[in-house]
Amino acid sequence: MRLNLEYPGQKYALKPTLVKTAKTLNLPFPREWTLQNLNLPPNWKEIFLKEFEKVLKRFRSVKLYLDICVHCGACADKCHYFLATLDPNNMPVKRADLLRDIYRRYFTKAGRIADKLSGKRVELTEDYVRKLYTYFYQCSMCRRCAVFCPYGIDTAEITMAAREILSAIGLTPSSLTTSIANCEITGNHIGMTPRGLLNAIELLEEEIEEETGIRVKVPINKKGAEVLYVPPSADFRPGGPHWGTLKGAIIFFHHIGLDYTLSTKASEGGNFGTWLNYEHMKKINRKIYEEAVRLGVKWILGGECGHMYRVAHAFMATMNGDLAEKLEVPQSPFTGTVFKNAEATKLVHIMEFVADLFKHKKLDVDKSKNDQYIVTFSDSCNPARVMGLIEEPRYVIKQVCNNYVELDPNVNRERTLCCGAGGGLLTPETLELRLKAIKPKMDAIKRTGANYLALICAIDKSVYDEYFLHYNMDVQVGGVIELVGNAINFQADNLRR
Amino acid sequence: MSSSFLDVFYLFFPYVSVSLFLILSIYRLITWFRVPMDIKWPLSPTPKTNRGVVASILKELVTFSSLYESDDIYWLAIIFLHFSLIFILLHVVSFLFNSMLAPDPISILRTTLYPATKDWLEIWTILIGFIAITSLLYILLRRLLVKEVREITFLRDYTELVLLLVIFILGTCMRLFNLVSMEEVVEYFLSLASLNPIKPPQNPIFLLHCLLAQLYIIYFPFSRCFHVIGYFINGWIVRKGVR
Repeated sequence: MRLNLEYPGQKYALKPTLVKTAKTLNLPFPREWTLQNLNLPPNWKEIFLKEFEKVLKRFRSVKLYLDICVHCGACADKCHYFLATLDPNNMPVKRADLLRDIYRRYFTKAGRIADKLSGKRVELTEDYVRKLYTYFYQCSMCRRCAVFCPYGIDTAEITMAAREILSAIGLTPSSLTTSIANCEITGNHIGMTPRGLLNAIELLEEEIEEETGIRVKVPINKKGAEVLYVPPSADFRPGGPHWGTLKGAIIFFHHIGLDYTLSTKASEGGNFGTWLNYEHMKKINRKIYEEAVRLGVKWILGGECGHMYRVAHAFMATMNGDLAEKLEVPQSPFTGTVFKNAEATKLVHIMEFVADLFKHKKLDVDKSKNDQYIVTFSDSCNPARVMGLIEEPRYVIKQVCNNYVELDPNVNRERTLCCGAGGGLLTPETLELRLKAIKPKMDAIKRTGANYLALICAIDKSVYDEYFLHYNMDVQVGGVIELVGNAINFQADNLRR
Repeated sequence: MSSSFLDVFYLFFPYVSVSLFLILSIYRLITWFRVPMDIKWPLSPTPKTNRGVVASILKELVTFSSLYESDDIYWLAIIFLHFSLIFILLHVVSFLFNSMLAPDPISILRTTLYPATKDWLEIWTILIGFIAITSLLYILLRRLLVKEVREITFLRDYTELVLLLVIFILGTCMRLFNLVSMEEVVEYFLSLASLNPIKPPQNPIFLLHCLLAQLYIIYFPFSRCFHVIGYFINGWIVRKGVR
């Protein structure tokens, strides 16, 4: 494989944060800066090293990953951004090396000695920081490299550590901070106000009545409901690929008679703060739990959002465990199944919930209603590699469709290729990069001959829609719960006793 | 004068090297375990029970399955290298136990792995030595010739590989040309273990092999090879799911 030593990854660096956004979020050193002139504060080196030390004292995993890598190169051709650009710094091993070199030079005795002996001087200069910014915001934190590493070294954790350090010296991209500001001020990443949300729900109710003849009343901000349903906010946008997911979910809930509520405060399942630093990840996640406690619900049902589960499944108990204790261990009111894996987090994925109902044969579906679709399922990186949610969506799809085709397992299941737009890379300046990176998956989808791509991640749905347009493929994008909503013989309150 | 210095050197240096190896390894482990695990972030799919996690770690240890999926020829070289390293390590360590305690696990292993006749043992060690040298050469050439891998290889990797290569070449030569008889070596090792050291066999190849091996184990806690121990800790972190 040829390496492109002109480092083409540099042209996909993300645009810097606007000053007013930085001030809104209380980020350090709000100022005007560009990639050519970073305009760093005068004591930035000290802050950088102090923050690095804090990170090293906090995460054993990061310290191990920086120490253990033997540079075998097994991860090198597994990152989709490396395959798209052939830029050596996009190899997971070299991306981690950008941080590792600083670590060895400043934090290990052996490294300091070796640095003096060998000719390779590593200096923390502005140029170096520019490289750090460019390449650590060119990792979508999908963890595909970790699956192939013999030790399981996780570049995503190293990226999180690097972004934490970079945000301490004031280098953050606007793609992330604008969405985070939307979420912390208005309530969700797309900036939809509560009134806008109510209007969207009214439109949804009208559409459902037109299509099924049954008028449903979606409860919003209802106190004392059993379950709080938190979808990704993109679901509330009428007319997009996500709209069908919300419709399918609402139809489904009314069909089984679930006592649920939506919320205008916790209208966002996603958490872009995950990709910036710990503080914002905690704040945005806390909002969901505060609302759940305020409404007095028993547990939380999460919609089809990918990284919501990474935050809930892996980080939540450490960050906001004190709030989660006030909720109850999730138990399905129709089958009595206790979701023990959610004992600490009290948050259940909708796929788990639906699969459980199907397993207990509680649902009456008509598979032929989905006969016009040849469905294939693409695993999203976070549900597959952090939650292990691989079999449930497939099980549900097979229960409601006659024509299901499995995608090539080399780009699916645990080895799934990231859509390319996680980690803050969902911006127009990375479109070319993402289109190149997704090619193997597009080829695989073409080979199946499918005309409906089922996904359980909101970002996936947005970007695959765009990719199919560019690749000239006539494939509809939608959620799994949408197929369930199509197939059930909708009558209201079917399972409520 | 110089020969007496060498004799004295070889009387005490083994103790220095082994103690440094133990102390520095434990120090390195402590620097890792002193740091807490703030956020637990496993790589799904994870095994459901602790026993499953241990089984998964051992399976990866024996088969190197994730490497097999990346690059099969490299996987073969790595398997050969690691297994030959283990055999040679057992072979050397068994010197310490020969006729000290009987029966003991190492000598039982030794008699089962290598049939008990002396000639077969010699042939077997030479064979293992050649396998190790071939795989080390392949790994070294891969690092030199494959462009991607050269990009991520540094002086440190080359020196460690060359050091290991030289140690293996010297060892194989010793056994191949029968420069030192195994009884002498066993006597020397036993004398070291019983804290009553005698002069080592005077062959220069043997002395050089010993010196390089001891330098290697002093450097071991800071080398790439410490991944042997880090593998288990990392394996636990990555596989132990959040329950």
